[in-house]
Amino acid sequence: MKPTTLQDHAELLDQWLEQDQLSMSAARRRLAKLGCTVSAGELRLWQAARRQELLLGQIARCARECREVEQQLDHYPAPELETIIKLHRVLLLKFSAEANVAPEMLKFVKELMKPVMDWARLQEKRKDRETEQQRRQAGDGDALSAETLEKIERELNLL
Amino acid sequence: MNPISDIKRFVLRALLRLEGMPWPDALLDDTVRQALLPRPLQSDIHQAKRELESDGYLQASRDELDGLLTWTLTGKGRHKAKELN
Repeated sequence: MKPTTLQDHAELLDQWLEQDQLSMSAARRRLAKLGCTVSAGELRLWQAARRQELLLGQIARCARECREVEQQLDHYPAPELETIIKLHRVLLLKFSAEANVAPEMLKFVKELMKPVMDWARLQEKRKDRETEQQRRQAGDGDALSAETLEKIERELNLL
Repeated sequence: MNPISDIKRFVLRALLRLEGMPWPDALLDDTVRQALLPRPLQSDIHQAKRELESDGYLQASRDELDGLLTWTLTGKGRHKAKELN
């Protein structure tokens, strides 16, 4: 049988050691059948390094997801949104700390944020419409400008 | 290998992946426990963080509102973390 390396069986080992909680000696026996003979020490070192790499990859993915959402909500600094953004960030970072998080979970969290982003977009449009309306009113000869209106209100002691 | 050195290396590499995003203290501890084999002691994790902070690699910050403690890399920490990657 052609000799193989631990890296050749990385996914299989992830399943044996992380999900099935197989013992080192059992994993070594199985590996030997696949043409990969390693000492217990080598396998332990490989597992430690592999676990770190997987977690680091997961952290980077979660951070990317957070940034995407935060960039989209960046121009709408409402305090209530700040709270939701913080919560979303903590949720994703919590997932990043867990071994073997299914990618569907990250998608699920992203889906949760969609209504928030839609709401922010709506608010943005509303703000634009109001600004446009104010601008039009100010430019209209017959209508009172906001400044004039404020002056009248001040004179009438309404403010 | 010294467990505290391993923890320090992992913390620096992990924080670099966050690209400046602050990492809540408790979550950082959880991640370190998941990442290292054998599972490190909480006292070692604390010591590693303290040493990284006093050596100027990490910066702690506490939110005024909710008291949440978070960690980010300093410039020196970013530089060191890039060397480790």
